[in-house]
Amino acid sequence: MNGTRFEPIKHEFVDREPERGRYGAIACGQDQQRIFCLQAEDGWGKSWLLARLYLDTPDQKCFKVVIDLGSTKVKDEEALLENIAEEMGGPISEHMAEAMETSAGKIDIKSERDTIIHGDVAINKVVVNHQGGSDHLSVELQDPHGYGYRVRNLTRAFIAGLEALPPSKQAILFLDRFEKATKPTRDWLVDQLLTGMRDGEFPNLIAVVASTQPFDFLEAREWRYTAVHQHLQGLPEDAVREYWVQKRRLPEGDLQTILKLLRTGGFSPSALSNFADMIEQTTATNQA
Amino acid sequence: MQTSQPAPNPYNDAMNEIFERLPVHVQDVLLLGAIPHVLDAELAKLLFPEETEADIKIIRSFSFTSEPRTGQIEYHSLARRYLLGLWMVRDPDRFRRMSDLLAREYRRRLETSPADSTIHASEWLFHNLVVDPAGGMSLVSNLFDELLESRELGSAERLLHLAEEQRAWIGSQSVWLDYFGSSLAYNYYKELNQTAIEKIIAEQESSLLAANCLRLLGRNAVRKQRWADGRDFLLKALKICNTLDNAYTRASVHMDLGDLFQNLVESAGGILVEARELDTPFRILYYVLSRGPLWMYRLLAERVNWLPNLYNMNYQNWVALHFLRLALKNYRLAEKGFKQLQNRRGQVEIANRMAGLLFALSHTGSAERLCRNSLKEGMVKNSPYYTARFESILGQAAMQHKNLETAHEKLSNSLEIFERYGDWENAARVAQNLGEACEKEGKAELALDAYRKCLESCKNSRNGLQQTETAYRLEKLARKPALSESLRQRIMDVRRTIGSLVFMDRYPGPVQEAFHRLTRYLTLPSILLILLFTVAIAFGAFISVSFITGESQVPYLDPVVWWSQAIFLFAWILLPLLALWGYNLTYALLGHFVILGLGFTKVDEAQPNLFVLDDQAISQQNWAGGSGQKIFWENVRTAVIDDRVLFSRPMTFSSSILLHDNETSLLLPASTFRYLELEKEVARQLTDRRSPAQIIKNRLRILEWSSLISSLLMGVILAGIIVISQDLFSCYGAEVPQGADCPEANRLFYLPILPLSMFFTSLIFGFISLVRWLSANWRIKKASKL
Repeated sequence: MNGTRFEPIKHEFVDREPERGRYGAIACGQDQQRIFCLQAEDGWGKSWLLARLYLDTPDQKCFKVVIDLGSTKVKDEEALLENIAEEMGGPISEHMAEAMETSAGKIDIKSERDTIIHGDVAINKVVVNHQGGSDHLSVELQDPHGYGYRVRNLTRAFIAGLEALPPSKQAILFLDRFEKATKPTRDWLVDQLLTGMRDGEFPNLIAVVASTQPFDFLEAREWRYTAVHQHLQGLPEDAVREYWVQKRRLPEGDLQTILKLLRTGGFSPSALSNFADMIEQTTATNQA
Repeated sequence: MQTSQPAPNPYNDAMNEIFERLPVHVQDVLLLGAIPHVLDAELAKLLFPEETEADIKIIRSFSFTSEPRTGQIEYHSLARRYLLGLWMVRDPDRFRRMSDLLAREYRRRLETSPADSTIHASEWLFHNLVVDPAGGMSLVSNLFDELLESRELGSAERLLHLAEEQRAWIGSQSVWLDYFGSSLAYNYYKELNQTAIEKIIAEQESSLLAANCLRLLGRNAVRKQRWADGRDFLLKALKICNTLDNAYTRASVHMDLGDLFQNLVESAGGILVEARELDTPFRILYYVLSRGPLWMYRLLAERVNWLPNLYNMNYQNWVALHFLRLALKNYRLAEKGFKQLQNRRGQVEIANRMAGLLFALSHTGSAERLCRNSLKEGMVKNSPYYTARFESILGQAAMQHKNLETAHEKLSNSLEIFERYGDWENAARVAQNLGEACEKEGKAELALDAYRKCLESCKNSRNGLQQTETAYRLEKLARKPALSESLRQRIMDVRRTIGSLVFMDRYPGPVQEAFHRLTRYLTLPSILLILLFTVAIAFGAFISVSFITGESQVPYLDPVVWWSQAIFLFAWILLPLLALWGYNLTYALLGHFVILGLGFTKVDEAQPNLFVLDDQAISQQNWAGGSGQKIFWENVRTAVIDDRVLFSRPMTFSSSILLHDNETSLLLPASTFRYLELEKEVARQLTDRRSPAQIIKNRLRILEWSSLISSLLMGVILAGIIVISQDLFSCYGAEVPQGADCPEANRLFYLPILPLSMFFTSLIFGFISLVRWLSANWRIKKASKL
């Protein structure tokens, strides 16, 4: 979902009013906390809620981006920063694009005397060699240690971009599937970004993070002034019934089956909408 | 009897109920669309070629799919997991065929489009696992290792996540995933579960997986400086690779073996003697004399997990040289393997390691050639980092050739890149070399700049050791006569920024060169001195005995006397060598048995390599800059200063056992380089703070040089006293007529007196030392109870 401009959400049936209210308070500065951590099981509506919060936030007030940390493309902090650079817009993207050009583009390092090194720093490349009837893969590094350099440059540019934001605007990061983030990504997020926010840096940045796993770093006391930790609950039976019968207009007989099966595991909004879609599809086909 | 029930999964149960009701075509489309992680138009054409558009529309109509980017459809993980599970039950053969189609497509993308090649390669291997689990896993392992070697850890972790998705499908091959997990943990510097890995090795005997696991254990042992274990693991891995004829893993294992031997030497203090050690007759003599101990020592050093400090023991340098040559041999074999595989990354890595090694071995010309050839490689040209690595070696070589301008240029260019890329270890090393080059050029101002950069890099890499060395160099620079006062002041200002004092136990870094020179100049005089000393003592003893017993009665012309004196002399000449050898042997055996007996396995981890004293505490750091335990001055109740470095380990253990209180006791195991300063500084810190701590010096002097010499002298005196007592042993005198030969029994009488008396005096000295040591231990124990 990286960088998605969400379309209006289909079959809206879970309002998550308390969570949205809390986020609203954070976004408009009523609440001092600036890190909003959402925890819930798979399929309980974290991604939906992130999308909803994204849509709730008016574009005029902020620069915002949704990043799926479980995506294959977000392999490390460099990829994460590149995503931010690409999608966030405003001065942040401008600063970061400039940094990307200088750190990942043409290398032309000049010393006092002469130009010593030229070369294009491209991405690392996987090469397949066919040896003796079998394949052999090798990674050709364009610049193995340039990675740390680029990350530092991009981080600096990100911070510079935040500082360059007009006072009326803020930046909001919506980070989905935190539990799937690779260690380098997670380390950068926790050790640099979120810890910086905790310690009073980046005053115009808000982070909304969703995960199926507990947020270990929140165990320390010093986070409580900066971070809100909220568990998403499953749907109450009444809401399920209302959604099934009134919003989707689906047969009650199927609802009984669903209720019977899902009651043991809690009513997951995602599962419920999946089943509703399938039954709708089945009914439509049968009618045709 | 209890049976394990599968965990209830209400989602799957509900899906089973409802999915079956969907029209067959819709079911089919949903199942096919779930196979790739991201469904795009090209993949859709492959999966459902007949009604591509209509089928995509069907998929889009379900709310468990989303389209984060235009034309890229993704399923919700919950739904996708369920559908992939369904394939295994419904139609595994078709799933295999479809996966094959996708694998081919991703391979095509990998070969045609350089962008996102890691993602395409990972997806190719992901689908290929379904088609051919065994062969596919071998390829996954290949890419996984390559990604780890190139520090693409995030991509490696993603590849592992992908392979994990196929765990249920790949059956027995899933054991590889446990190895990948461990391998990733190793690269993230986490503790390995050695038992679990050993279990895999036992189960997968002589397979590629076993070889990989052995390699991982070997590298882990090397990281923990358990050299012998590392060598055993790696050699076993190599044996399996040779049997399986797996060129990639074989080359990697050779590289690891090379790293092992090089690390072993570096962590033991580096190489101090040049390769051309046999260039003078004296060195040849020394070499011949020390050959026996050398062989024994080499055997020992290869088989136990430590190689003691190399300083002051020149024959250990030959062992170090031997190890470096072994490293070189392994690097060459690895290079050959990587060349055959056309693995350019591997070749560049090896070339870099080999160049550094050749330079350390004083094969400067070969190192330079290798660097120049490597710099022509496209991959090196495109990588400022690799360029800097090779250029910095060339810079050092230029400095050796006294081509200071070139050295300056190459070193400053490399420094700039290391600083930009945050490789602080290399930056510090190069900055120091640059400072030295500037000093030699007579450019004190530039030297100061370089040393300042060096200090910054040391700070970033937390290398307190090199900070101290730089501080020392700044002091030297400030003493140069031709400096302006303001510059001298600035140099001293920079010098004063180093607050902490650092003391070292092992010294692998920049002081190495100073040691190198020192040993080069001192080795020969030391040998001569030892020879002269022993000869003087022997003749002195001989003459004193002759004098005391009456000159006329000494049978100078008797060949038996001459031969026996010669044998004594030879024994005395060898004595210093044999004493050291015996000392090391005893220590090796004793230390090893103590370690085995007490069940300590992490011997070297517990050893501090250097100490940093600051206002608040004394802390231990290893030479790579990692800090260890920090002991605050106010917590110190007992400061124990152990004796010689060679006794440090067993004595640290025994002291720890005696003390039972490590937190409030300060153990300084080892006579470090600058040992006395360390001792004084600790005492000063404790006294200044009016700490109630007791300082106890724990010394076992039995085999110190001073004790050895005292024993020898006392032996000579004792022998003299015995011989004087002619009444007790009336050999000479009135019974023997003037001018007559001394009787056989009497003539031989005084020959064993010297060694016997020396032996007895040594025993006495040893006993005294032992009593002192025991009493010190008793005092430590008493002090710790206060």
